[in-house]
Amino acid sequence: MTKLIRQKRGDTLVKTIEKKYKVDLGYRADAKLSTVLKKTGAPSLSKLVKLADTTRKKTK
Amino acid sequence: MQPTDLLFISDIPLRKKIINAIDTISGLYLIEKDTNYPRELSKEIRRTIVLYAASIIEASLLFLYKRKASPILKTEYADVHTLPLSLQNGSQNKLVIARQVQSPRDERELMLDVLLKFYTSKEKIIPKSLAEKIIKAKDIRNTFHLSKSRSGLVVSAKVMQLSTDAVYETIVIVKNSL
Repeated sequence: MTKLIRQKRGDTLVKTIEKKYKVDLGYRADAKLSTVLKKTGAPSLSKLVKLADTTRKKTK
Repeated sequence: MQPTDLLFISDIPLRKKIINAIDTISGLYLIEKDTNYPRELSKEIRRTIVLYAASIIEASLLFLYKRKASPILKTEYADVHTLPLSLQNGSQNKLVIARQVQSPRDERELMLDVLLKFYTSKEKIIPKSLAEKIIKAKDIRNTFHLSKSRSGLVVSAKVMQLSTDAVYETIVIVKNSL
């Protein structure tokens, strides 16, 4: 399922992480993880997630 | 030049582990933001984030070292011979004669502090500002050894932020140094 979510949108969504670790993070499930991180004051982590997302897209 | 992906990490298992670590840090970061958790637990979540950050930095620098660097040498002593009694100076420590040998450090000896010193002092690719962030992360990571003192090491939200900044900045430097 995690793979399906990534294939559909290309970016990691909050629900991807929620499913991976079986947690409820309290954010909109369909929100882009990098966007949520940036908004919550983690710009460098947001950039790291974008790097990870692009890498996953290019290695599919 | 800012990287757009992590494909420059040609060691595929390592790349996957770094991506997984980024996922983990992201999840932990959002949990840490959840005010339903007690402050003490949030602090330990921050400590774990810093642990992952330091580990990504260490792995990235080691990857660069394995790809590019001239070896980091260590000094050892071989053929050690104790000098005769007549040449001893009465100290409790024996006077010896030996051959000084320089050999490359084994990979298991290339820990973050060694790599950091190498890339700040010798290769000079890590600026002081980044080195300070990495040292902070390394010191906090070391507090996972429970016998080490934690005094003076505050695992604040700012330190957590600095550690993830350091991960990104290190990745940029590694990419540009390849």
